[in-house]
Amino acid sequence: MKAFTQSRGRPAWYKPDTGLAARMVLTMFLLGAVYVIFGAVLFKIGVSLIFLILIAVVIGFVQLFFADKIALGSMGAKEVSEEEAPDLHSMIGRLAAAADLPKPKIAIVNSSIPNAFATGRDKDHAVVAITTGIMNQLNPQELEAVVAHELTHIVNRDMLVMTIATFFSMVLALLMRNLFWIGMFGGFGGGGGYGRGNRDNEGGGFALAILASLVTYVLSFLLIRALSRYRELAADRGSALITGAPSNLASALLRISNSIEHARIPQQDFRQASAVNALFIVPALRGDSLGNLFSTHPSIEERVRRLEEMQRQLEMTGHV
Amino acid sequence: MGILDTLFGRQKPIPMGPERIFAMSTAQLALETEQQLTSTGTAAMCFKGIASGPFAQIQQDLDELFKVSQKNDPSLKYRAFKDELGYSWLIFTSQDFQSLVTILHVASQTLLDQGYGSQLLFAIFAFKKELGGVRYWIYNYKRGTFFPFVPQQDTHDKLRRRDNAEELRLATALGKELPVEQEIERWYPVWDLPF
Repeated sequence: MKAFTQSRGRPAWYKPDTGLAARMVLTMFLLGAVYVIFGAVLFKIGVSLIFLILIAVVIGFVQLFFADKIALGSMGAKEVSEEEAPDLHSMIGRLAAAADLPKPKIAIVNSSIPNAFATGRDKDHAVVAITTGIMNQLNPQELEAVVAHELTHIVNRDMLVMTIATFFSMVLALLMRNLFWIGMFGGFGGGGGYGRGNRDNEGGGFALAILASLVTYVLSFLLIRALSRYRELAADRGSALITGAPSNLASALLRISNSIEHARIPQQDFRQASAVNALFIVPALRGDSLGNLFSTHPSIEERVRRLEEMQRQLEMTGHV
Repeated sequence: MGILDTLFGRQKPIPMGPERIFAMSTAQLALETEQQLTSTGTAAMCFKGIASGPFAQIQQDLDELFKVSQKNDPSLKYRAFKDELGYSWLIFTSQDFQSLVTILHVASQTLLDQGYGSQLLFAIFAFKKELGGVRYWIYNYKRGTFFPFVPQQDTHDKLRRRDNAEELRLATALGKELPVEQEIERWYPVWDLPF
């Protein structure tokens, strides 16, 4: 085997995914544009956002600074010390070193559902939590790939990026609630102070503000979901780079995915399967659905397909 | 596999039968040089129970074919086997991998010609890794495709653990040389191999 030729510290098989980067930038740009247009509309109507933004800033900061504690608390995760889980600590420590991160805090969730997540505002306050279910279902290489995926979220500062991306969405949610009440008051409490024409104008303004908020909310919701999916794909790529084995993560994803919804490598013996499933005629019903538009994660099929593509590049350039 | 293939399903009908087994004779080179996998010298085919009368007739035909093949490759041997699930096996051994591929194809074609094409289930090739461990490539006659099977221990593992990561890796690595089964839900393992 010939050694990987290095280019800027990355192995030759790791081609930057410019398409993914471009889509991520475009999504962020569109998200920013949607917010700016919305702000302009509100400014034109004369609704002041300062107070709401202040509230949102406070909520955003609380989210960022207590994210680790909130997430761990809501998931029932328990931080484990080096003595309690020495193998896990040494595995994650090794991967963190490979990813050039300080070793994150490690927590275990007592749940049979296979899952893992990373949280924390920056790399010094990061926590990686994994469920007992995922530890039981995956073999060591697969678990390593999953942890490497979570570590990449920390490297990429996804917590911060997504908090900023959802920030204005949060302002909107607050605004819609308040506009509704303001609108109600405007409707019922008529009379005092305003002339008739003035009030009608104001009512129209509120309606427009509500409409603009709704449209912005829907658009930003879709864009945030898209951004989240791209960050997931980026984390998959990071995992492949850290472990040097894209197929380990593909295998882990297939194993923990729901066998009814997703294609999986079967456990059943060929002979027994053929007795039940003699007619290999109807192709399995698959393909991307519209549901993808609303999900925070790309489909398992797409993630596996991309990881396989990376594995293929690795096989092609990793050998003579 | 593009998006269109996924949306519309398979576009080209896949030829069924043993024809694509021959892909293995060229893939062997890639397996050996790129994956450090060498043949264990054994390959086998498995088919559904054929009544003993007709099967005796088939076996006679096979014996004759076999004698011809053995003239070219004296190391070639074969035995029939019936497993506990009621499936019949023909197990071939030879030092020459190409002759293993050829005899598998000839034997499969014989069954096909006798009208037992739909009874053919799979053919299986065993490879060993220099550092230890066995990798199998299984050929699905109905689909004309190959897929990898890598047991974590061996095929007699009671827990039936398979190394999916290694299988996925092998499948992408051999994607050029072999018609690899694209639908991973059809990568059926074969446990308790009789060889």
